[in-house]
Amino acid sequence: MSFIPVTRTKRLVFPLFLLAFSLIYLISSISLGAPLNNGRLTPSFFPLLLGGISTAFTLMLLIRTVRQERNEEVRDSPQKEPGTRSIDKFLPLLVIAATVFYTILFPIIGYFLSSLPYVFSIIIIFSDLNKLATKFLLTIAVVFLGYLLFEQVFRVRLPALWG
Amino acid sequence: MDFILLVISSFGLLLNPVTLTYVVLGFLIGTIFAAIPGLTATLALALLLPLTYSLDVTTALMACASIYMAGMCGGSITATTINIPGAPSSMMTALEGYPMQQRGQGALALGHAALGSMVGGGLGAVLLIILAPFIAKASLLVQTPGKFSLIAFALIVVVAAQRGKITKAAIAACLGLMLATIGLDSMVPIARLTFGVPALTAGIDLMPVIIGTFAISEILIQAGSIAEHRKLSKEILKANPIKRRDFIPPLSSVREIGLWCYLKSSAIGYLVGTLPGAGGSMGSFLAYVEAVRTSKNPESFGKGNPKGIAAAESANNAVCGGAFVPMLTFGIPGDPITAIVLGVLVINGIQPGPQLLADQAGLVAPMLASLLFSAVILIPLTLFLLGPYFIRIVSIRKDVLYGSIALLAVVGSYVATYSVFQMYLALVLGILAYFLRKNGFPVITLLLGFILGPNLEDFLRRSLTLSNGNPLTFITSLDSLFFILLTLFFVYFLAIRKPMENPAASIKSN
Repeated sequence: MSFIPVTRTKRLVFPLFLLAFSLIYLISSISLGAPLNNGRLTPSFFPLLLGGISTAFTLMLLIRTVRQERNEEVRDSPQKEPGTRSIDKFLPLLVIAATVFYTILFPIIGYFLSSLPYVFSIIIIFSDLNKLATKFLLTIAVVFLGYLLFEQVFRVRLPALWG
Repeated sequence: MDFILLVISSFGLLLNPVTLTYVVLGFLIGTIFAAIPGLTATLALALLLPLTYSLDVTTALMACASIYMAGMCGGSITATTINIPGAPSSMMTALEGYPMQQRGQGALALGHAALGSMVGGGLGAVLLIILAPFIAKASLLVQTPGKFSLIAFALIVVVAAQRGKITKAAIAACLGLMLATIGLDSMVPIARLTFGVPALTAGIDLMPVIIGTFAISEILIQAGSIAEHRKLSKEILKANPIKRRDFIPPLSSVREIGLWCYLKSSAIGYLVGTLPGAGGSMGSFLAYVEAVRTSKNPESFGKGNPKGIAAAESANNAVCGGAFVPMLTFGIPGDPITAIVLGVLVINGIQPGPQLLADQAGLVAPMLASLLFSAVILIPLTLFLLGPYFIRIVSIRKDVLYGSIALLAVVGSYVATYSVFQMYLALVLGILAYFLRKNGFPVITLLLGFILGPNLEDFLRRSLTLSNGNPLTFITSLDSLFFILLTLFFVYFLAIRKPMENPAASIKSN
C-alpha cells in the first residue's frame, strides 16, 4: 500500500474542496424535486445537470492530481527566492483578515473610522514597518480622496458613525 | 448607413467637456493600469464599475471604451522598457521592444507600438462600426434552439481556448453557472439553492462577482508576490530615460514594415477578437507569427525588429473592435472587459442581445465613437505628452496603490446597492477566485459562466418546451446545427490539434 506524504497532500485540498462544493450543490439540486414534470423541465433540471457535470469534472481533476502526486519523484523543497521573507506567504491571509474586519466595522463605525485602519494595514502589508508616520499621512490622504470621490463626485452616501 | 451616420454625429458628444474629461481620464487610468505589471485594464474597469451607477450611461460606456483601448496598448510600455509586459497582450511586443530599448531605441519602439496600436485600434473600430449592424440583423434570424447552441458554443470555446488547463477551465465555468442558478427561478417563482440565506433569494448580483474575481483576488495575488514587486521596482529604476523627440518613427522604417503588415495584423486581431475567450494575447501572437512567417529576414525577429512590434500591437488593439461584435449583437461577452461593459448595460436596465443595436443605437454609437477616438487621437497624444514620464508613473508606490485599490474595491461593492451583504459576497467570491487563480484555474470562464448562465438555462428550457421535450430539436434546427458544427470545429482547432509553435521559443533555440 502506498502513501502520499502529508506535505504533498496539500495539492489535493483544493480539488477536494471543489468536489465537496459540487456534491453539496448536486444534493441541494436533488432536493428541489424531479427534473421533469409531464415532459416539461422543472427548476431542478438545469442545477441537476450542472451539479452532475461539475462533480464529474472535479472527480477527474482529483484523480489526475492523485496520479500526478504518485508519479512525481520526491523533489527537494524549492529554494527560497532571494528577497522573500518567511512572512510573505501569509500576507494574503492578513489581507483577508483586514478586509473581514473592515467589512464588519464599516456599517457600524462608518467610512472614516473603519477605512483609516484598513488602508493603513494594507499599506503596511504591502511595505514594512518603517516610516510609519509618513504611511499614516498617506493613509489619511487616500481615505480623504476616497471620500471626495464617492461622496462629492459620485454623490454616494457613505455610512457615518453618527447619522 | 444610418448607424454609421449616428456614430459620426456621436463625435459631437466629445465636445462636451464633462464627457471628454471622463473619456480622457478613462484612457489615462487604463494606460496606467495596463502599464503597471500585475494591474490590468480589467481591474481598472472592475473598480470603476460601481461608480457608473451615478454616471450617465452614455458617458459610462464611452469611458469603458477608452479604458479598453488604453488597456491594450499600455502594456507595451513596461514590455519595452523593462522586458516585463504590463498586460498579457504585450508579450510579443517585449520580444522586439526590449532589444530595441537595450540598443537605446526604446522611444522608437514605443513609437512603433503606438503607431501599430493606432492603426489596429482604428481599423478594428471602423470594421465594428461598419459590420455590427449587419451582424445584428443576421442575429435576429437565430431562433431559440440556435440561441442555446450559440451560448453553449461561446462557453465551450472559452473553455477550449484555455489549452493545457481545460478541466480546470470547465470547473471554473461550472462554478460560474452554479452561482448564476442561485435565487429565484426565472420561469417558476421558487427560490433555488439559497442554502437558508434569505439575502440570496434575489440571486447574486454581477457587481460582487466582478469586484471579487478581478479586484479582491488581484490584491490577494499581489500580496503573495511582494518579493517580485521589490525586484520589479529595482528593474524600473534601472530603465534608461526616454526622450520625447525619438518617439516618431521615421517614414523609411514605416515603409519597411509596409501597409500590408498593418492591415493584415489588424484583420487577424479583429477576427480573433470576435472569438469568445481568445483575447489580445492570441491576436498579437498570431499576427506576430504571421509577420515572422512572411518576412524576408525571419532571423532578425527577436533582436529588435519594429515589424514584430507593429504586427503585435496592430493586432491586439484591433481585438477591441472584434470583441464588441458578439457582445453587441448576441449579448455574449468574449473577454472580461466586454463582460464588464455588458454589466454596465445590465445595471442600467438595458437588455443586451440582437435587439440592442436596433433599440439602443443612440447608446451604442457614442461608445464606438469613443473607441475610435481613443485609438486615433488618444494613443499618439498620450505617448507624446506622457511618454517621457511613463517610467516615473509606473514606479508609483505599490503600498499606497494597493491600499487605494483595496478601499475602492470594498467600498465599491457597497455603494452599488448600499448593502453590506454585497461586501461580504464580494469578499467571499474574491477569496474563492484567489484560490482558483493560485491553483491555475482561469477565472474568466467563471465570469462568463455566471453571465451566460441564466440565458443558457432559459433557452434550454424554452427549446425543450417548444419541442415537447425532444432534444433532437438542437440538431433539426438549422441555426442550432450550424453552431454545434462551429463548436466542434473550434474545439478541434483549439483543444485537439497540435498547438502552433511559439516563435519566441524557436528564435531563442536558433
